[in-house]
Amino acid sequence: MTTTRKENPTDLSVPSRPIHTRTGVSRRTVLRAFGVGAATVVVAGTGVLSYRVFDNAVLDPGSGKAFEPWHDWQHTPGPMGAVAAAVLAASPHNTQPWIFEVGSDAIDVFVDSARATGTVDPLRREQYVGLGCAVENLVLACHARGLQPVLTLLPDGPGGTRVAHVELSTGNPQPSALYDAIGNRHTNRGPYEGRVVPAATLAALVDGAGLTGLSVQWISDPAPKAATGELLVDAAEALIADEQQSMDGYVWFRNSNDDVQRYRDGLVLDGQGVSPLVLGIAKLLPASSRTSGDQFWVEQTRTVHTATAAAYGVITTSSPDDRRNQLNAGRLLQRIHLTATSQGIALQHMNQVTERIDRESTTGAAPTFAPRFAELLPPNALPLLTFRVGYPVREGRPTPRRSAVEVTR
Amino acid sequence: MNRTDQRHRFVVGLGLAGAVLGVAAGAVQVMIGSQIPEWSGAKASPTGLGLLTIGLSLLAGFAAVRQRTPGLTAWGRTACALGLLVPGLLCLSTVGRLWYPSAVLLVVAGVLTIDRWRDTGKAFAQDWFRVLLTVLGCFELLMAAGAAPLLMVVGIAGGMALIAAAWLRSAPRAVLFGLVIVGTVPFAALAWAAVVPALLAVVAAVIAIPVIRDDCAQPEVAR
Repeated sequence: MTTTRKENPTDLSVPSRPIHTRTGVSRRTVLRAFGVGAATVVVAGTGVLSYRVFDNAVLDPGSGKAFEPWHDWQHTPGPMGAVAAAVLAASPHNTQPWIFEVGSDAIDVFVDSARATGTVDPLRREQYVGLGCAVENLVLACHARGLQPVLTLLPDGPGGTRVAHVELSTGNPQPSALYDAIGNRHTNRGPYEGRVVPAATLAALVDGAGLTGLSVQWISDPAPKAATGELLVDAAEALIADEQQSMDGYVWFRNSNDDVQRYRDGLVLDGQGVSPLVLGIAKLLPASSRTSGDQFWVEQTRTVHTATAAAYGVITTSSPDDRRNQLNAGRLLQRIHLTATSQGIALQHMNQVTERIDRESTTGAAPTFAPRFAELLPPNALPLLTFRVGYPVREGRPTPRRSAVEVTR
Repeated sequence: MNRTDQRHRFVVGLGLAGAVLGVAAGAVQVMIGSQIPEWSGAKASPTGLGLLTIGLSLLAGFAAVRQRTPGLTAWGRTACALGLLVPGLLCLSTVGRLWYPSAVLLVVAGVLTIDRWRDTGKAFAQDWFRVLLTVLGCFELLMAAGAAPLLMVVGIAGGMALIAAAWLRSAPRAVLFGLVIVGTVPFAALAWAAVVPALLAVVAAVIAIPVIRDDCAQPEVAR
């Protein structure tokens, strides 16, 4: 198409001048071609992003097989139903280090040694704590189903792979508030409100019945709380500076929905506690590298986790290496978390300080974190677990789980 | 019967064979897909994907028969070709290896459906903004396919509205404008945190302008 100026054919003094480029293409044609090309490129880009939305289940988070255990655990009857509740327990890096053997009158719980976090948990304390969390859910679910559990921890001794034996007999169903909270309990890594959690409320979260050798220290006064926060940030920085620890932690991060649905374990974007908009954008972007993920975690620890914690809880014992203590600490932690959940209080596990303490002790490095943590705790109270609590700005999200059938043999 | 008629007849045979095999593949996926993951693609939702495969296979079969209708316009023939090609390629991701025979048959049938590639290219060029708006509608359908139930319904309705806005040539401008708004705004508002639905709404609004003005001709090179 060519464009010419309107002209008087009789006026020979004004020559006719079509607006052409040197190649013979009009300016309008060039502009239209540019517009068509730009529109095509923008639509293609929108297509790529649309596929990311579809592929990463951005519009239906928490869906698929990986999250089904959160929906059907209460509807499964009998001992398998109790296992279905057990698999919803907390575990380090969501490793789910458990295997169950289910009989008509007993359930055995075994450690799955392959599901470990390596140098992050070199003494496997957190692994046994996670098993203790699962045992607590199992016991609560047995009571709710009228299965009358009688629990024996470490029936084959501390070196055996069988960590618990639960004898079952018929009784009356005994549902509880803790049992009802199992499906709503999620680690909440998001910001908490500035509201103080009263000391009486914190104390009421702890039910140590039947769990000897453990105590819970609450750190809520401003000065020690600030010191604990600083210690946690320093430990996070030390952990990412330790390349082996960083790598061992990163292998449990599931970057895509395909991996989430395939492995049904590990840390996921949905569980990072970020706002819906940030979460949506993060899912559209390519998978983050280990180093950028590490930096994000340290930044979140500094600006969100420690900055908005209402209080820290530390489960202590005189012998943190004792497997029985670790299992009982897991049971206590699970009770605290379930009670907090039933009262609208959020909880996040923050074990980087003890992870650094164990790392330093196993590598023969000079202890730097153990003395600093000891200053914040009563004499002879050795830290086993650390967590923060507070009233959440937004709800925690479920993380993937392998089903009861998948973890039962 | 001339060579074109013979080719159209051949396409019917290829397309129907691919569709029948596709329906069978979908049925296998529904019934025993989870038991033969190496053949069925190890899908997380074999039932849903099997049913989708059956639906798309039926669509391909319809397109194969329809392309033999005399006097089809270039767009009509292109639509039939897409009705064969899209299921032929898409179902590779729904039933795994079970789809391989159908994929070959439907893709070949789709390619043979086009009589004159130059006419098809010209039709695309003349209606390029309509094509882009249709593609955006398909992107919305794609997002809706992976959405929660309410969003899925809104997204499917929105995608269909966008596609309708692209091709209702004789509809009043107000209707076309309304279809574009209905096709994008509710989905973008409900799925704001995902960002892309809002981006799609903006892009669709811009591209809809020449479509609504019926001014979507491909730029012509000056002679």
